[in-house]
Amino acid sequence: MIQAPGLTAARHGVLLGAALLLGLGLAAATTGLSWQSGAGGLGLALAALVGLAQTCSA
Amino acid sequence: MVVAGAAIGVAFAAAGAGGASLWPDAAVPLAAALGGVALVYALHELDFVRLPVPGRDWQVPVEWVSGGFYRSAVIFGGTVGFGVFTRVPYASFPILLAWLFVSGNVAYGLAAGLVYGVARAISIYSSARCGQPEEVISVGQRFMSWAPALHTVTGFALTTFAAYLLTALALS
Repeated sequence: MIQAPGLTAARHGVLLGAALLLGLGLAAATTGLSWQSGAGGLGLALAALVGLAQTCSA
Repeated sequence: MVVAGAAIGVAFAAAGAGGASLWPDAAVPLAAALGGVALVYALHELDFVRLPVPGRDWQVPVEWVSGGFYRSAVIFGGTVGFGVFTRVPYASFPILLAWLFVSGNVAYGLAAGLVYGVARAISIYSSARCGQPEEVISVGQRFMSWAPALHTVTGFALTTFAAYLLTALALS
C-alpha cells in the first residue's frame, strides 16, 4: 500500500509525541525507583524489539 | 545466534564495568549523553532526519556456510548473532549496545543479550518448521512484510527510552 509522505510524517509525528509523553510519564511515575532500574526495564524491551526488527529485515 | 547475542551483551556490559571501575562518577554524564544521542537517533528511526548509522555492509561469505548443516548453522548464527560484524539496519542496535556499556552490569548485559538473540533468531525458528523450500520463502516474505512496522515501533521505543533516561536523570 502506498501512502502519501505527508501522512506518514504526520503519523510518525504523533508517535514521536506519544513516545516522549510516555517516557516523561514513566519517569515521573517511578521517582521511587533508581534511574538505572527504570532504564534497565526499558532497555530489555528495546532489546526484544531490536531483535524482532532485525529478524524481519533479513 | 542466541549465544552470540548473549556474548555481545556481556562484552559491552563488562567493558562498561571496567570503565566504571576506572571512572566511578561517569555513569550519570554518560547516561545523559546517551539519552541525548538516543533522542537524535530516534528522529532518524522515525524518518525525520537522516544520520549515518555505525555499521558495515559485510556479509557472511558463502564458502563459510557451504559445509555441513550444523557447522554452517553455528558459523552463520555465531557471526550474525553478534550483530556488529554484519549490516546494522537500525540505529537502535548501537544505542542498545551503548546502553549496556553505560549500565556496566554484566548480569544485565547477559539478560539483554539473550533477549536480543532469541528475538533475532525467531525467523530462523519459524523457517526450521518448514518442510518445503517454497514454505521457507513464504515465511521469509511474511517476516519481511512486518519490517517497516517493526522499524516504526522500535523508533517509538527508542524515543520512550531516551525521554525516560533524560527525565529520570533530571529528577534524580
